[in-house]
Formats: sequence, structure tokens, C-alpha cells
Amino acid sequence: MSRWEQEGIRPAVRLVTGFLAVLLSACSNEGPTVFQRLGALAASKVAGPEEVTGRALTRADLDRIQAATIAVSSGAGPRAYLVPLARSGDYLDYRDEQGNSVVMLGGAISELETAGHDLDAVRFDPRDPIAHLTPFGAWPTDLWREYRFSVRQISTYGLAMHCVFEPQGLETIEIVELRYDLLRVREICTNSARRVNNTYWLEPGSGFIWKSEQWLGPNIGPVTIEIIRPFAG
Amino acid sequence: MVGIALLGLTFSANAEQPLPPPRPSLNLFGMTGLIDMPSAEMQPDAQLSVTSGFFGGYLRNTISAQILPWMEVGFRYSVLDDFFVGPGDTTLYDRSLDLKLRMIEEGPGWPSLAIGLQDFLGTGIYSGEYLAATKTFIGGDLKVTGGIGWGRFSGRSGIGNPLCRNGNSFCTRPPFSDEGGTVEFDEFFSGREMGIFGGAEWQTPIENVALKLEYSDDPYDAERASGAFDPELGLNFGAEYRPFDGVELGAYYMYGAEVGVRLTLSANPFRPLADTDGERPAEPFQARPRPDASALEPDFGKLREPVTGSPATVRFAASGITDVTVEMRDGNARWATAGLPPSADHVCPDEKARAIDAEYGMIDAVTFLLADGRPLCTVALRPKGQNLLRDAIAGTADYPTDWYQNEHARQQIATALAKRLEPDAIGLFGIELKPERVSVYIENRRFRSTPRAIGRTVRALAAAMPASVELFEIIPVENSLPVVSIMLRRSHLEDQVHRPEADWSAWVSARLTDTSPVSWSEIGTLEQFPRAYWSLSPYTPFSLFDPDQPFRIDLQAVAQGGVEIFPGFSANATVSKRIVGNLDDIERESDSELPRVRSDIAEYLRKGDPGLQRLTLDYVTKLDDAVYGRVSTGLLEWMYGGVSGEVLWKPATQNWGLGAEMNWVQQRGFDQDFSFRDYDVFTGHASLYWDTGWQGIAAQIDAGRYLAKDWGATFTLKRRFSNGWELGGYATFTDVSSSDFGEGSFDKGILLTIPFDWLLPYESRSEYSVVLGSLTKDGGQRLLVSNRLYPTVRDMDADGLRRSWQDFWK
Repeated sequence: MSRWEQEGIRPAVRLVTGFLAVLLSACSNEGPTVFQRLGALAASKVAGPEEVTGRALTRADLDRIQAATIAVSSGAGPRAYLVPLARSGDYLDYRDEQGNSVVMLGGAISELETAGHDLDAVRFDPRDPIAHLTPFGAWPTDLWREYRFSVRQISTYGLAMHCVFEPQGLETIEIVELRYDLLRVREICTNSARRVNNTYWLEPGSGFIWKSEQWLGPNIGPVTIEIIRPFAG
Repeated sequence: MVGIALLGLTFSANAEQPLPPPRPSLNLFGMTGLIDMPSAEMQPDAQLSVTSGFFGGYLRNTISAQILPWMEVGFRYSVLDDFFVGPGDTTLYDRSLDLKLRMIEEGPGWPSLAIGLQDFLGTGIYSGEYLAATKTFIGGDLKVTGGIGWGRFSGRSGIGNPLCRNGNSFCTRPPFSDEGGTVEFDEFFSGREMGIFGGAEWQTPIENVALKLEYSDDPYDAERASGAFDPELGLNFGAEYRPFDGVELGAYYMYGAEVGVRLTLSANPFRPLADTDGERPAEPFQARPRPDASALEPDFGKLREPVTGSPATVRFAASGITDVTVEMRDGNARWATAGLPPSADHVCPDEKARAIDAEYGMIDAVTFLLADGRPLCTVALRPKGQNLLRDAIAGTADYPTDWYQNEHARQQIATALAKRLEPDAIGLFGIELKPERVSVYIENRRFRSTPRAIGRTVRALAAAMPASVELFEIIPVENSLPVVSIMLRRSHLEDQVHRPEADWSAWVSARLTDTSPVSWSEIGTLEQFPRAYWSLSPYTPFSLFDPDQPFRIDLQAVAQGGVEIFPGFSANATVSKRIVGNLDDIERESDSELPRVRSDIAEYLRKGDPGLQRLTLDYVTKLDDAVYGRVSTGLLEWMYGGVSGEVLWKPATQNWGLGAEMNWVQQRGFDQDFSFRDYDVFTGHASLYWDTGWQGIAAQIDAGRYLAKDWGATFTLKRRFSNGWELGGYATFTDVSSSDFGEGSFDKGILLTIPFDWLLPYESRSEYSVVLGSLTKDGGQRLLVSNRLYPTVRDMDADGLRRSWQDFWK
């Protein structure tokens, strides 16, 4: 009789105990095994999300950044500050410290790459004033836009929307201690399955968008973008 | 300067994703249906389900799969207690296979229609055929099914079989036999009687709860004969509940006599359990500053962006242009040159370009010439024209190449590249650097999708390579075999990144070729050798269908290690040790009439712990552009040692290949040490591999001599998904007779591979593969070789790369 049987440990318990022991000891000289990464994932689930600490940045802090800067936030969450690390044509690839990426075309987010669900790309109407700087007076009344997404490792799909603009009037907003008098414009985008709202705060004369709340997809929802320091080329 | 306190983004999910197709419920047989009867419905494409159904002492365990959108198959292992009368074991252990084909899909005014064969390959206890029709009402909340059936689906109502006339062959249905394993076509739709069945399913207002009612014509005569089950009615009813997406529970009152229960676990390769991608975002793609397009003005005038997408608003006849010539440029671009009248102003006439396109058809670009012959402007109408212009612009760039003369600088570039690839677990296997071109040999250790590894490499190259390097050649290396060359133009990538469908633009502009055998010493690879590897991981071998105990499982610790002395030449070992389990309890002795090439498995399991599973010297190499070779010698697998040689011809741009394998092996001792038994054999196969390109179906035929010296062929069909799932089956037919083979008549099995990263929110190339077949028979058994060539190279061909190219920029 084995020691385990002497101790009365039942086969099922032995199986589970043995499996866990082998699972946790799985290792390789080629980096973490799938089992080790699974263990780390489980541990993070048990421990919960990392708590965000530290004070909010002031305008004085941000003024020391010698680069274009945007702030991105979701709901009531804290702002993330991103700076452009690459440019391709008019597309600017903004990054935060963790490497999370927000690609902007004009005032529009055209790509989002973070850990989780991503927005692969956006196909813009050539007349789209959000993507192409246009004085408000020359904005089209309606346009189309297509958002592109992926089903992980399987396929891509697109959501095409028809969008119309509704000016909401002038409004004073604050972006990290600076106040701006801007025109608020609501954009209503619809297709047969959904209806989403975007909001933009812009300078009517130039059409420059200082702040916006943009819908980025069914799994991401709306995101707020604020321009801390515009990209100057 | 203050540090930028960048905070992680947190997003909440909501439920606006495209809705998955509705998933109908299953029946007690584990097939889509009512309670004990089938329906004409189908599961969503590729749905895989495991069902346990029980009533009246009869347990049915079924694995079913929606192999194609119109084809459902199920493999069942049933345990029928008290089936036989008399002394001894009265339990029937029964394996059966079902097939259901949809003939008509439901429409607004007609039902779906399906034909099904139940237990058509097994011992026949559940043998029956049916035609079923199902129609949904009230937005899908109510489903009504009706059908007719033969065999097991008839007997209670006493309706005559309309196919049975004047004593023809349809009038006779042979009784249940316990040999099984072959398809008896002449028994289909036969029998004196035909039955009817039908029922309804109602999705109640209570979320995820459905009620079912059905009429079954099955009198359960075979079960009734033993006296263990006495059905009183042909009516069944019950309730079903789905607590979670992949779980179904059912409880029923069966035939007025028994309570039945069902549990189904279900998953779909198209719906990853972890649908989020937790990998770190890719590095930014660093584009070079664009060259000034004005350098092209003397030849092309001003350059205009493509203006496709809207019809011409000017008729060609009214455009005032008469002098148009069309020529082919760069092989396949239709380029028009149009002379403008002297009255033309100096504004580029985009609209007239579209008019020319409409008149002459499929024009990629138009260059307008002023009356004095000077070019005014060029309008690219289509991507081909746009690419030609972009290539011309890129060609005007004059980047310095003096760095190439400095060996230290070249070394630094290579080192920087390797460092940039490290976080993505991509190894730089070799590099060949020229002033305007770089070839990198990469080992992808993390990403299931090779295009994703290629894309990450492209980003690293864009950051690390001097501006003069225009051509990126990336050669993925698998098991030290360079398989395919993917050539990408850096300027194209710079134009494509971030644009909609940037992945497919990159695919279209990539050039794929076979790689030639390479001298490893010339690309710096040898500096990495010799190199060692090792790993320790769990393994869970199991055994199914042993009547003494239908399911046995071990948990083993498996240690693998080896040394690769130079690229392709390695010494490898695998040792296993049982931690816990009961596989060594198998007591069933082989009664095979054939040489016992596999059926002594119980001896190996009992005595081979710890076991030396593999100890080999292996050499793999590329013999020619599309020809690969392998030689292995030593203890090749747990039951055989010897010498194995293989040659594979598989061009990267071709969807089929040919292989040949020859082995001389001797059977190993049961202790799985260095001892051998007194049985040796020459065995080998010629193989045809074909990726059909249809629904991911891959076909393989291996014909030759098997371990028991029997001759024949193995036919394998697999459906392969871009995320690593595989579903399939195989059948081996050799000159061993059905009676010599034993129960089952011939070797066959189900193949299933589940990738771990389908379950987990990050990339992994690990997967769990299982063969539900018989290793305990001796006919049609092949040698198990761990490093066969085709599985190594198959995902690197053009079709394989194209299928997952969507991950290129991720």
C-alpha cells in the first residue's frame, strides 16, 4: 500500500493534487510555458486589478512634456496621457508608457491597440471633417464611416454607419486647468443594428477638435480624447 | 522634466457584438434534436459538443461535431446495463457513429429538411435512418418537428415501409450483430415497417428554459427483451436549461416509465473562450520621412490620389480629349497617356481621368500632357497605378549606404534587431544584410499565427534598419528548416500601415517564394550552436472503450530535452513518469492473430514506468528549394526503435505535396528501456497531402506497408481552423481481413486538436491533440514519428499564411 493510500487520500484528490503539482512545476528553458502563464493569469484574477496610485497630473506637469500630448479616458476612469511615437502620412501613433496605442487621423481615433479588444481601423468618408481638418461651415450634413474589428485569430468584420451632425451650441470646457470656448457638435451614427452618439468640441473657424467622446466599437464603447498639446508637424 | 505618469486604459465590455447564430439543443443521443428523436436543425458551423444522456439504465456518451454547415456527425459510446440475459456480464458496451445531412435550409414558407443515418457504422443496436423536417414559429420560440424513420425509428405505429415491395431487399432488416464496423448500404431504409415521429420545443418566457414534447415510434424491443426496460407510452416530455452559454441540462419523463437526464458541454472554434487579446501591443511602425514627390514632376507632373469609387460625371466624348494611348507598365498596370487640347487650363482634370477609365476600361493611371507635350499631372485611379507612382517616388529617395562599409555598424544593427525581437519571443536565427535589402531568418516561439510574427518582425526591422534598406525578406524557420521567403517592400508598408485593410494590402504586395538551402555559416547562425533545450510538462494519456473500465487516465510528468549540435542535427530525449492514474490497471490480454505490434499496450503501460519514450539522433535539412529531408535513428517511439528516413516535396505556393517515408524498426521491450523484442519490420508510406482550400478541409492519403506487415492506405480528412483547431477523422484499410482485425473491422479514429490560446487571453503555440481511436489493434498501425516534415512546414505555405494574414499588423 502506498503512503497516499495509507493516509487515506482518495484517488480523485491524488489526481487533482498531482495535476496541480505538475502544472505548477511545468517549465522550460525557452521562457514561460503555457502553464506558467496560466498560473500567473489565475493569480492576477485572484488578486484583482492593480490599484492605480499617484496624483493626477497638473497643467504645469504636462507643460514640461516637449511633445504633442493627448489624454484618453473611459467613463469616469483616470486619464492616460499619450505622446506620438510614429507617423505615417497623416496618421499619428500615440503611445502610453505600457505601449498601448491610439492612432489618430485628424481628430478621429482610427485604431486602438490595448490589451483586450481592439479597433483595427476606420475607413473614413473622404469628406469626413473629424478625420480631415475642415472649418465647421464646410462640414457635410451627413457621411458614412466604417469601423473594422477582428474576431480573435478567426476573421475580421466591419460595421458601416451613416452619420449626421447636430450642432449643440457654444460651450466652455476645461481640459486640465485650461478653459476653451468651443462649439459642441453631436454626431449620430446609425445602421440597421445600432445607433451610437459621438460628441465633439471644436473651434468653429478652423474645425480643430479639442475634445471628443468617440464610440470605438461594441466591446470598447465610448472613449474621451482631449488634446493637451496639439501636434505641430 | 517630469516623468509622464501614464495610466492604463480600462474599458468595459457591452453586448453589441455581432450576434452568434442560434444554437439548437441536442437530444439524448447527443445529436441536434428533441428528446430521444432528431430534428432537422443543425448546430452552428463547427460546433463541438460532448453529451451524456441517461435513462432506464442506458448511458450514452456522445461527441458530436458540426463538421460542415450542412453536416453533423456524432460518435457515441453507450453502456446498456442488463442488456443481455443470462449469467456473466450482461452489459452491452456499444460504439456507434451518426451522420445527419441538411438537404433544405429553412425559409420563410418552408421547413428545414434533413436526412440522417444513426449508428450506421457501429454494431447496429441503435441503427436507423430518418427524414426530418423542422419549422420555427413565433420568432424561433416555437419549433415543430415531424419525421419518418426506419429501423430504430419504427415499430410502434405499424406503418408499412413503402420501399418494401414484393419481398425486395428493403423488406429485410438484419438484426443487431456485435461485430460491426462496416457500412452496410443495403440495410439502409429497410425493414417491414416505417415509423413516424415528431414533437415541439417551446422557449419559455423564463430565460434559457425550454420545454419539449415528442412522440417516438421506437418500441425499444431489444431493451424490452431483457426485461430491464418496459416502455408504456411513445410520449416523452421534459424541460431544458442553459445556465451558461456552453452548458445544457435536461430532465425528461421517458416513455411513461423512466426519468432521463442529459448534460451537454459545447464549444465552437469560431468563438474563442478567451476572445480578448492580452498580448502586449506591437511596437510602433517607424516610417521613414517621405521623399519629395516633386522630383517626379518632370515625368509625371503633379500626382493625384486615386479617385475611384464614384462613376464618371463627364462623358468621354464631351471631354475634349481625343489623343489617348494605353500601355502596360511594370507588367500589369494599364497606363493611359492623354493629350489635352491647347485651350486646356493648368488644372488637373480628375473627372476626365474617370471618363477615360470608363471609355477604355480598367485604367490604373492617367498622365495628362499639355499641348506642348509637358506632363500636367498624373491621376492614379486604382491601387496598381498608385503603387507604381509610390514606387517611383520611393525610387527618388537617396539614402546613404556608407554604413554598410562598417562591419561594426552592421553588427550593431543585427544586435539591435535581435534585441527588438526578444520581447515577442522571436529568435533571430540568421541575418544577411545588404545596403538595400535585408534577409532575416526568424524562429517564432510565441505566436500561433506566423503572419503575426512576421508583422512584429517588420516593425522591428523598420526601427532597426538604416533608411537605405528597402526590401525586407523574412524567412520563418521551423525546426531549423527555412520554409518560405516573404519579400516586402518597406515603402509599401509605410504607405499601408494604419490604413483600412492594411493587412490585405500587405498580403497583396508581398512576394512569396520557396527558400533555397542556405549556408548557415554565412548568415551568422552557427554562432548560436550547439544549443540545448529542455522542458518539463504534464501529460494525460488515456484509454477509452475497454469494457472492463471504459475510461482510464494517467497523469504523467514528461521531461524533454536535447542538444542541437548544428542547424537541423540534434539529439533528443523524452522521459515520462506516472504521477497518478490507472492506465497500468489494464488487464485485458491481446488475442490478436496478427503480429502484436500494438495490442500489447497493457504490458508497456504496466512495465514501462518510468519510460524512455524517445532517444534519437535526428537530422532535418532542406535538400532543394521545395524539397525537405529527415533522418532519425534510435528509440523512435515508446514501442519501436530503429531508423527512419523521409523526403517531402512541398512548394510553398502549391496547395499539395508529396512525401515518402521508409523505416526499419524493431519492437522495444515492455520496460521501455534499451531492450528489444524479437520482431522487426520494414515499414513505410508514400503520402499525398492536399489542402483543398474549401472550408479549411485538408486531405491526406498514406499508402504503404504497416507495422504488422500489412499493406494498405490511410485516408485522413481534417477541417483546420486559422486559430489552430482541428477536427477530423481517419480510416485505414489494409489487407488484414475484418475477422483478423477483430471488433471494429478496420482501424479508424477521430482527430481533435484544441489550441491552448483559444482558452487563454494570450498567444501560445501549445495545443492539446487527441486521437480517439484504437491503439490496441494490430492492423493498419503506423510508426509514431515525432518530427515528420509535413506538419512542420504546412502552415508556412501561401494558403496557410493567407488564412491568418489578418494578424499581420497585430
